[in-house]
Parts: sequence; structure tokens; C-alpha cells
Amino acid sequence: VSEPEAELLVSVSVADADALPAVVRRLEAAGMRVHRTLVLVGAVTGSAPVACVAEIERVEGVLAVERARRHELAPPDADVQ
Amino acid sequence: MLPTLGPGLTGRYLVLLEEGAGAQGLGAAPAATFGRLGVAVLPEPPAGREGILAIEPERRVYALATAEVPPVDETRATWGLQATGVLSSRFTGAGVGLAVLDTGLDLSHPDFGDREVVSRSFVEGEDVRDGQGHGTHCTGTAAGPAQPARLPRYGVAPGARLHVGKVLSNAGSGTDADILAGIEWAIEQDCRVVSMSLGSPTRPGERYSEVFEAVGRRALAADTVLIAAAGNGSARDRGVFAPVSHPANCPSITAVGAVDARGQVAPFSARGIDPAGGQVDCVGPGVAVRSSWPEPKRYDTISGTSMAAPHAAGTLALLAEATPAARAGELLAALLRSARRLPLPATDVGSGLVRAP
Repeated sequence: VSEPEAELLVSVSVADADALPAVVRRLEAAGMRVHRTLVLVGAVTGSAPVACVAEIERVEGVLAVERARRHELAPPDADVQ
Repeated sequence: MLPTLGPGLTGRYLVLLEEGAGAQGLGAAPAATFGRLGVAVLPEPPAGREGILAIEPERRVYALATAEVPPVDETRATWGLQATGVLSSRFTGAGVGLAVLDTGLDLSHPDFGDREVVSRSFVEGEDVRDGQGHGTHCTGTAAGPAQPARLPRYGVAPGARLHVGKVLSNAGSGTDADILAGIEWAIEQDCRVVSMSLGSPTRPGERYSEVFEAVGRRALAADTVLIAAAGNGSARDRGVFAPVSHPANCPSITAVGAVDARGQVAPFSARGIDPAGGQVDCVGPGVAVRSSWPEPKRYDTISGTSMAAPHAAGTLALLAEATPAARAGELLAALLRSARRLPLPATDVGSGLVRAP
């Protein structure tokens, strides 16, 4: 039985860019599968088992953790876009 | 010499009196005196200048009514380009990096065939070609050519260095993560403005995303302005007012609502219900907007705050060309300061209708 997964957005401190790889390693150690590390905007995206989210929030260098939202456009023939 | 009677003048005079000076000794008996204001209204110019600071003809004033707007002639340019002053602007956004994050672009469209376009897809398994239409429409509004294959002209900043980031799939869906990747790419590419005609609905009172707010602030620090559609959740004809969508509800991201050709708020346009960042910052043309559409259709006329946002983003590119030394924060301030004020609540239109420099 696979555990429920959450798509995550993690905001990280950018005060020290050199520290970012270490933050990413700590996120991975906390159970996050990192998809992208966005250096310029200071964000890390990926997924993790829901049970790991609380630990990810406590990782040193992490400012905020959120579930990724989905964006849906109206169908192309809809009145309002 | 004072004009005695001209168009808009009553023939009487307003006299501003020195502190403590009375209305006696002005010659003719005043028609009215306002002691607390130190102003007298005279039927003729005063005899002397003693105790008088200023004299001016009294004007006729009229109630500020919304003028009836005749139907717009769109033979040569869309109503949106006319209403935002783009047609009379000497700026084209020349050399200014502008990114549109959407469903991509029809790269074979005749209006973009000769255009240098930097593009990248962040949607797994799909290239940047637009299989939906929305992205081609929004890109057209922001940066379509000055001389399209078929008139009318519809693009605000034809000179912009165009960047197309595909963050929504051909089915019209995407995730926050791909949008963040698109923003990072736009900053990397030195884009001064990012247009995002996308969003997910919020509930009244819902807090904005801290992640996107941090990203918006870091983008501004890197000299990139993020602009997003305010959202289409309202149904004003039924008394429904939706709050500004995510991510436009972040304080550092500019939320753009929609108006029609008569300057009225579009019935679907979101309202600034949540005070902490969830304001509508400005509005753009968003009803019956013509722009490019993937071949073979080539053009389409549609409505939404999605159509309003690229008008604002294109306008920001014109401002960036007009004031090359301006930082992102200054450009954003200029965008809002120069907007045409509308006689409508700021919760609906923010600073007003964006206007080209």
C-alpha cells in the first residue's frame, strides 16, 4: 500500500546562496523527493509522503511549506477566459 | 486684464481675502461672502486691491457624468489598444524582456513567424506549441506585431524581447510548481515583466501564499515585475463577488481586473475583498478582446481577466523602454500612477485603466 503523497512548494532562505545545497540535502533526508531547486526565487518543489510534511516544515533554512495548487483554464470555447 | 465672460464662466468674480480682511470696501455689494473661507463673490471686479490676495472669474461647474461612449471603430486597432493609449505611444517595448507564462504559443502563426521568440516548456511531455489557444491569445495582446497579417492591430508591445514559457498544458491545466519554474526562468532571462493569465480561486479571508509572496519580492529585487489576472469568479449580475485569485492576491504580485469598452467593470472580474494583499491593483481591457489564435483560426475575440493582464504587462514593457534606468519597484509605481482614474470603486478597479506612456 503506497502512502498518500503531497506536491510541495518550499520557500527557503536566500540570504546565503551557498547554503542552498545543504538545505536541499536536509529536505531529502526529511523525506522530500526534490524535483526542482529554483535558486533565484529561493524555492524548492517536489513531493513527499504526507506523513513527512511536518518534519519538512522543521528543516533548518525552510521559511514556508505549502501544498501546490492546480490551475485550470476554462475550455477554449468558454465565454470567459 | 480679467476675462469678463467666456465659455464656462458666470461673469462674476471670486475674491480671496487676506486673513482678517472684511468684504467691505470691495466696491459692489458681494453676491455672497464666506467668512470662514475668506472668499467673496462679486458681481463685478473689485474697485481696489486692498486686502485682496487673488481675483479670478467664477466658473460654471457640471456634475461629472460618465460620458456616453460611441461604439469603437476597430478597423485599424482593437478597442483595448485605443483605450490604453497604446496607439498614440511612441514606445514599443523595444529590447525589453517580457515573458508570458501560459499554454505556449503557435510558433507557426503568421504574426509570429518572423519574430525572435525565446521559449521553453515546463510541462512534462509537451513542447511549447500551443494546443489550447489561451497562450497564443495572451501573448498576442502583450506583444503582438505592429502590423499583423490582418488588421486590426492588437499587440501592446511589439518591440519586446518575447519569452514564452509553457506552464499550462494543452488541456489548460498546470501546477504551482511549474509556474514557479517559469518565473525563475523569466528572471534568469532578464525579463523585466512576467504576464500570468492564470490562477486558482480563493475563499474570502483566505491568506495569500507565503511561497509566492517571497518569490514575488525576490523577483522585484531582481528587477522583474510579476503581473497576474485578478480572476473571473464574480457573477456581478447575480450579486456574486469573488475575491482575487491566487497568485494575484499576493501583495508583491500585481492583480489586474477587467473592464469593457465603456469603462465598466466586467461582470466576472474579481473584487478586492481581502485587504491583506488581495486588492485589485489596476484594470485592463478584458471584454471582447481580439488577439491571435492558433492556426487555422488565426484570430479570436474573447473575454476574461486573462485578456486584461497582458495589456498591463505590455504597458509595463513600454514604461521600461521609456525609463530604462527605472528599477522594478519604480516601474510598478509608474504603472499604477499613470493609470486612467475611473469613476468606480477602487475595490473593483484599483488605480484605474492602465495607460501607455
